[in-house]
Amino acid sequence: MTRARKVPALAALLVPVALVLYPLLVPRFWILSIASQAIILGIVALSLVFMAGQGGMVSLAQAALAGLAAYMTAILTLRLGLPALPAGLIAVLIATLVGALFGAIASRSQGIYFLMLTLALAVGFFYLALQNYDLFGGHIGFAGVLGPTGSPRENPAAFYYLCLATAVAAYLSLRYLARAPLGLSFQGIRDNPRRMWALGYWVSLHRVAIFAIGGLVAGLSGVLGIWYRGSISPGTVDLTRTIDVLIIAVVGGLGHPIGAFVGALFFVLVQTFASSVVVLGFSFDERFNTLIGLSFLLVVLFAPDGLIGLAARARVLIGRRLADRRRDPGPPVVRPVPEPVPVDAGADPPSTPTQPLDRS
Amino acid sequence: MKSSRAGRRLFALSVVSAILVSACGGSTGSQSGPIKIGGLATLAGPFAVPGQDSFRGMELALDEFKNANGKWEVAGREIQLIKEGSDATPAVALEKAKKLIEQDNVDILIGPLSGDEGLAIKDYAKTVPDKTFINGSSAAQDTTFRNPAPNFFRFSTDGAQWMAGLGKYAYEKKGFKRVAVVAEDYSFPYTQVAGFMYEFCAAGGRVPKKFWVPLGNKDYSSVVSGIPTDIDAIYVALGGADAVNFLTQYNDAGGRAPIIGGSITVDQTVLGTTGPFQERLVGTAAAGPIADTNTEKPWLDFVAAYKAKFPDGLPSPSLFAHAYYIETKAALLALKEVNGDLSGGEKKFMEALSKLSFDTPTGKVSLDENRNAIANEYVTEVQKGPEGNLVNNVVAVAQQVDQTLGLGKDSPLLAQPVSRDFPACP
Amino acid sequence: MAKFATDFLTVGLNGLTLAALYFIVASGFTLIFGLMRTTNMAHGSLYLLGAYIGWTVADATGNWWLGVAAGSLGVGLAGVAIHVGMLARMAGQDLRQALVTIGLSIIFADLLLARYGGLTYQFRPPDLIAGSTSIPFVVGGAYSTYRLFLLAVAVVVGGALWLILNRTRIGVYIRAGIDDRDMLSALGVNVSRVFLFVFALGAGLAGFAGVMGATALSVSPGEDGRYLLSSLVVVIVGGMGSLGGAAIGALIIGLAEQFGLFYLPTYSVVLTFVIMAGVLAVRPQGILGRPA
Repeated sequence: MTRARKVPALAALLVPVALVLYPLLVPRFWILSIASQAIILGIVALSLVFMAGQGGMVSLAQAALAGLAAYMTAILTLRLGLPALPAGLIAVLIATLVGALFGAIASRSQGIYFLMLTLALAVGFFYLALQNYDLFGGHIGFAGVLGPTGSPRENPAAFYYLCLATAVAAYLSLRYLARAPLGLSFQGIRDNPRRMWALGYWVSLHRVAIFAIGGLVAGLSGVLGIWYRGSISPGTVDLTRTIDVLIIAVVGGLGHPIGAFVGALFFVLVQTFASSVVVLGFSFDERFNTLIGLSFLLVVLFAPDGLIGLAARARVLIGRRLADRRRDPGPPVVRPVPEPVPVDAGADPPSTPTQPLDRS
Repeated sequence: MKSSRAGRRLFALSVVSAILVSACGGSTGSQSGPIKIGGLATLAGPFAVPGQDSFRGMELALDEFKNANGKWEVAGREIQLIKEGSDATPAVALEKAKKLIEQDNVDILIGPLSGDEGLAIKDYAKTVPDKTFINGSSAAQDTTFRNPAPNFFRFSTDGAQWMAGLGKYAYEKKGFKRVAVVAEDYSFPYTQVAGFMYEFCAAGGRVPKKFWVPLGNKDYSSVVSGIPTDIDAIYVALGGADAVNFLTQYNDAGGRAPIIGGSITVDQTVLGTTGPFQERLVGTAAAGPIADTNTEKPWLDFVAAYKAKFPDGLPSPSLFAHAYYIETKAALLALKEVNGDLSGGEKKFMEALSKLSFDTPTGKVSLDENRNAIANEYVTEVQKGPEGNLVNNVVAVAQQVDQTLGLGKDSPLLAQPVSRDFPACP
Repeated sequence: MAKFATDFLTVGLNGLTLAALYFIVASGFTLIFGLMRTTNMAHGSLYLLGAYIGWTVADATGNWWLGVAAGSLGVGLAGVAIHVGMLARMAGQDLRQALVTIGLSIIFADLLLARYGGLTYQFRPPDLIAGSTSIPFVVGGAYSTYRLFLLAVAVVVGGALWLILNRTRIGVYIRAGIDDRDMLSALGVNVSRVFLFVFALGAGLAGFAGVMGATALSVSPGEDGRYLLSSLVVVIVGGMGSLGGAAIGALIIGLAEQFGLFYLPTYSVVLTFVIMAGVLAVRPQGILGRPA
């Protein structure tokens, strides 16, 4: 094994080991408020990255679907007395079905229309949860919901492993899906719906399926979220949280599923420690939104592939630097420079369909 | 997925650095080192201005406990204040409270600002029985009235208590028998309306119609159209400038009924705005925990101290500064009483707090068995000031109001949590 | 029965006048999208910016009309800056433009909050258009003069935009560009200058709407989100890129909101989204929109 290949293998081993050992090394706050929260946010961002990446559907309804699952968990647990795990699973199922419903409404919309429609659906759900007391508990929402591992405060490691396992399962499943025939048909529909239709694929139904899967993954995040907080209120599905999911996905790197988790970790760290950052005399806690908005804007303008893209570019640069150092005036060696990630800064990430050529 | 290697590298790097950073984070509090107080108020969003004023109130209280070096100190222990800001949503308030308690290891948490956040913090307090949680200005009734937490203390009064004296005043002195209600559709107005109705309904008044306007909606035209004509007054529980909106629209549509105000309805913004409805504002009764025109010496001293320390602050301390001041002062007085002893799960400190009774800029404050404040409330009426401008003059002081507004815990008016439909006396 | 009729007519008038405001707000949004396929998610922030600029100027000079002019021009200039500085470089990348405008809206909203605080600001329109007008068939016998003025303004704005689009040369270019951008460019028209004009016009309309709306309903933080959403809904229902569609969409949504508020107050807000979802399920391009 050459040196170049040993390093990635090492990284591949280091990451799982670090993630498993993590709760044994850090205080409870870091297990729960930082890591578990980052994982939960990462999962909902993952659902957005999946839909955008494989389906070309940038959906702003993911926070709402996650919130829906959280609300359903609360209702099933508190009003119907179901135990935690069945309640959670049914809630995920409901989120999947509602995702399919959203997909049905939005199946014929594409690109920007789709984005705006999902935003409007999300806000509509917010107002429903806010105004309705019979089902959704209105302005106050629900409290006192415990997950199958009990109160996270008392069993932080158990809860963390639950989140980690769910995230890993979701991530690997979606990766597998990307290479499976169904996933390939999704990507075909993303790239050229007309051709797929000509080949006999039911395009609308596939879009519904994509949204349903997006709802499923978002639902997982919502259920874990309410088990983490113990409560749910409309503030968790408002416009700010809806946009936060987009920010996390974009900052992490919209084309890369792992970016969802990197972006989420970044977001959680900034949100938690912003108050400690004081620049030019004003605390970032008060101007947190400007800070986040600015990071987001900078990423979109200069690093459209997010932090992952930056890391890849850095790796290329470092690789070149090392290669320069090692070069000696011997026979010319054709050294393959690792390809940068194939998204050039001038084009869209490969997630939006281009306009169909004819406009009838 | 070509860059998943880079992704995994980055991920590993972040995980490892997170571990390293966290290993150095969080010191444990000791029994002889500094006392850490965590302050939680809303700093993001539209509540930012009240949030800033809340921290001003805290600092005013802390300034009364300075040592020879000018540092805050009680019983020989230095006091450190760690501030965190929320955005008025319970989820974020909860996260910030967790950060203060678990990462910064504060001994006492003072906050939050808004009602819904208060309910979430109360639930969290139950899971951390060995730390003391003192309210900021959150004014939801159920924070202490139903399922209270044994370690949550509220030295400020709730939104219903703020209305004490007004219902009676409206019925007896102003002669209003039938009143319609216009308020925003969420918990704080529910509490305010309930506070008004407790006394008003008990005295025999009737509230035939309530309009709950969805949050964020500024267009009251259809509400105005729907107000019944056979009412004596309208109780308006809207924030200052929304009230101006409503009054302008009501006036433009030919409405002539007098107004009764909630605690934030007839503030300086409204009184200072010129417009055709201004004349009709004279005689508007309202109520709240403070009154700008209070002439009692303790209040005037408080205002003077506020103005001296914060020349860039508001023209007069808000009820948020007032509330946070009282809560912080309570904490400091109790600390003094137990000589800074926070050992044993802070038990002695909590006991001292629950028995505490002291004089504030607005009179005496003490706690009931749910650890909620019993304090004075002010009924005001808009009158013409000496220069022809409008001011809120104090017309009555409800003395030592408890959470049941004197009705007693078993009153049917208090049988259910406040909501759109409860209490009702149509 | 008479009461029902008076109520109904009054609420109907309320809906009409609210629709007027929504039309003015949404017209800029739909124009920008129709030609440039740019979803300006900062539209709500531009509304808010216009309102604050207008208030500052009106308060300083005591002249409301100056405030209107300042709000419209100021935001139009901001639009030019945004377009030239950022969006023009991303021509054709719809998603990226949407994301950039989202980022800008977050920053704008927060900076405006830092500058103007959480207070609500009131405008004082000149007496000519303030106060009430007596109208026999409405509740109370009188109706807000300003709201009637808004109705008139909406008609004038709609008419002016129609004239620009259908009777001027630049209007020809705009309509041609909506149909086929590449052909227009091939014919030698400076398409980027047309784009700039449209973006500035759309932004200016947002700023104008800001002052108009704020005079009726005051301005405070959070209004940006509200008007962005209502613009989205109005334009989705009416059809993107269509001025007539914006008018129809505004009518439907304005009336639905007011009737909802009167007869079904708790869920009036959700009603709007239900209508939108319904229209989209049946006609994804909106009522007068062109199929994508």
